[in-house]
Amino acid sequence: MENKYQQLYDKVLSDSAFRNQLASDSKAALRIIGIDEPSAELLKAIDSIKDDVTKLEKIFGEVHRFAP
Amino acid sequence: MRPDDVRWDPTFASLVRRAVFRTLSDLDAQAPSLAKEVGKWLGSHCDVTRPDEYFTHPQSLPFLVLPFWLETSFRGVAGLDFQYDLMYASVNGYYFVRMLDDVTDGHEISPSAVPALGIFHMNLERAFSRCFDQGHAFWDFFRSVWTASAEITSIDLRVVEISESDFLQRSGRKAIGATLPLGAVCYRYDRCDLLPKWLSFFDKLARWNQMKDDFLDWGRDSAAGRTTWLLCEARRRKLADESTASWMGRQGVYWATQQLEVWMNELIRDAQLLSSQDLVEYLRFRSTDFAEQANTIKQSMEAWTVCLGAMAREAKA
Repeated sequence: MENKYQQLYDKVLSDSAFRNQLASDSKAALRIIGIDEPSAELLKAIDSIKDDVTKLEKIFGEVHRFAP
Repeated sequence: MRPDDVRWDPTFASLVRRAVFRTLSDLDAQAPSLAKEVGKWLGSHCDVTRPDEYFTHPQSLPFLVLPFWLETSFRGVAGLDFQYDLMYASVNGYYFVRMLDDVTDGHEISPSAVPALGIFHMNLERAFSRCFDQGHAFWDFFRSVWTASAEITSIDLRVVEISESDFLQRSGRKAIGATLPLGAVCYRYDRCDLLPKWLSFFDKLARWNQMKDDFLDWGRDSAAGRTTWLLCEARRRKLADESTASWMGRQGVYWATQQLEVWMNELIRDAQLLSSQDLVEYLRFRSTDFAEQANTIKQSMEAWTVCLGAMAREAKA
């Protein structure tokens, strides 16, 4: 399970699609990394930081590249 | 100032609109079938009903406004017809570089749009030809810049390791083509004495912008296997069994934002010597805006780290 938390942490930091999924449907997002039956504590914890995840996505998602 | 509060000079904004729409209408007149393919490609990058906003977006490298501010810094006003030609050249140059980048990076682009490269390049040269006769010294500058742009892009596509020195000398200078209109302003008004300071400033602004994009885009770059200085540093600095994401959360975000803050302070100091209050105010906006973004990222990641760290410890126990 510890690895799953690490994977969850990595995905939130690095994967835009996962962040969006987590914000809109956390259970579906957790299934992607193999957490099929999340504990109530985990769902509560994710709910408490959803705003932070959304803020991250807003910034990371608005990258505006000029050059290669 | 907030991001939405970047208030461009209305004359400048109007010139940008005209130059962008003229670029697209010229292409349509020159090669209507090709223009349709280019329209589809552009649609994947911007709102095709307002393609000019791509160039005035608050997070963009402001390469269209710099020649405007440069000319205003020593003449008090900008020659509108001249600036319009420079913008037209720059927009064509940008589309050329962007399309080439999409092809070389393997982004989705229809092969039938790619022949537009030739037309963008032709129109870029045509615009500068309206400003300078064939034997004018500007063309030596043009050749040296355009050659450097091609060389830097080619080397950057081959490298697998990027050091700080590589970034400063090469990767952070990929937008060098955007210095052409700065040179044009200096050559046009016989003020080449100003060129080294503006080129040096542009180099620093372009590297700041590149680093900021590499920082905000590190997740996508990592997933796509692209090489950036930031990702190379992550590989060099992370612990043996540590993921890139974990290093970013633990150190990378702080390392990258500190680097960007140092460079931004240097930029503001340099800009104060360029006699353009508009430029200084713009940089102050970018500095504040980025500081807010960086704080939000740090706070969000700390909340996330605390939450998951506690759960991971609990699972381990």
